[in-house]
Amino acid sequence: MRMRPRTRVLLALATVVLTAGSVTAILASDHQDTPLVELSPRLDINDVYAFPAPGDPTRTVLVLGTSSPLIPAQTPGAAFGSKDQELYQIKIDNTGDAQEDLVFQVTFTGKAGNQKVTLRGPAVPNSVGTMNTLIGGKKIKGYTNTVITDGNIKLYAGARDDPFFIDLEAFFRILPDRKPQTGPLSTITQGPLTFRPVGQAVDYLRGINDLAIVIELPTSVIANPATNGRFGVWGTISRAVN
Amino acid sequence: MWKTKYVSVAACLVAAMFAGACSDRDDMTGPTSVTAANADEDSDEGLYEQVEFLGNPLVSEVTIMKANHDAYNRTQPYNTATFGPQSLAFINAFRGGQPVVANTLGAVLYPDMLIVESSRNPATSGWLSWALANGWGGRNLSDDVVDAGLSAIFGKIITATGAFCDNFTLPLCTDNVGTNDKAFGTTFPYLATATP
Repeated sequence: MRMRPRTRVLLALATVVLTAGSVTAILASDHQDTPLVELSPRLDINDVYAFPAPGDPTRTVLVLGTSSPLIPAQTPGAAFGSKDQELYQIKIDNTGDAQEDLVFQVTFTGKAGNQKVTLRGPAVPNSVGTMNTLIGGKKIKGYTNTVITDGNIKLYAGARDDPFFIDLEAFFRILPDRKPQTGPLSTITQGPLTFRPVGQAVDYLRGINDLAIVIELPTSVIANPATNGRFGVWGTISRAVN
Repeated sequence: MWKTKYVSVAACLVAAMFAGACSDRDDMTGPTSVTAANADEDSDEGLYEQVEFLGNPLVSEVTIMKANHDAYNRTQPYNTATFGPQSLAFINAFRGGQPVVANTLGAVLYPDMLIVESSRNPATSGWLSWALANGWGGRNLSDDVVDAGLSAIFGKIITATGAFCDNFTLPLCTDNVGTNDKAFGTTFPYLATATP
């Protein structure tokens, strides 16, 4: 039987649902993608970015976003990790083996709105992989919601507009098994199986904030001439093993 | 922290034996203030275990079963052997017969890192531009990774065979949200200010 294209799409989606089971929380971005991070927003990475500094293309900007979605009323009370409990890292592989050669380690102490932030690195990690300790050497320290400049490194950690954009409601109507377990999106049911036209589509993250860690530094600090300047970037959040 | 406090108290007691010091004022400006400063410093010690990971947008969110997300978050990007085939299987589930789609996406998305080719023109930065356009790569704040990802999987970016929609069109190759609600800044830290 020759199927109409729309039928094929519906069948394909059904196949996806059946084969993939409950897929995940959010397409493209990574907001609330497991029950653990849904319950603990400070352990949730929303997005990671790496781009040339707009005003100086010899410098690179690295971004790790966490804790989204924060509505404005929640934002002043939202905190990064707490003393000796959470470790935020941006890791760099500049040798092409998918193992970190340099790490940025960011930790926090104090209360929401005026936390102290400490950046260690970029430096060679004590250990490669999923179990890590804090590296020694120079630390850059300051407070959240403030631009910190130290030598050729800039650091900011604080509340910003969540830079991601998506029609999340439409997405969950297409694949409701990816919805979160709590909140208004958790009640969405399936259909129609299409995104919405221009004028009806809605950026779910409009007016939504996150907590962002932004680091800018000369690209030459992290690029390796031996790999023609090619490097890989990823973000992790770790918990203290007590 | 308790060690510091203990030492400062002990030092105060020793000093008191000789000089009768240790007034409240001394505590405010001397040993206690040092203790307070240390109290909000994190320790250099401790062991931390990875519980969350993100490299490329889309990869785990779209192509990895939610039941496996926790393992993904705890073991990537060191575990391509486990998760690469899961992603290919997912894509093949609805682009079966066009393995070039899964193979191409698998090759550019694994190992799961944002790749930067920093020797190339910074003006060509953008998600996957290093692979698809000989560009700088990385990921810009303004990149519409949703449409790019939807079009790569459902559309014709990689191959027209079996595509469900034209690139960046309904029903499934765009979400019709192409930009952030607030303009990004031109100066550090570039992300727009939080909505108060």
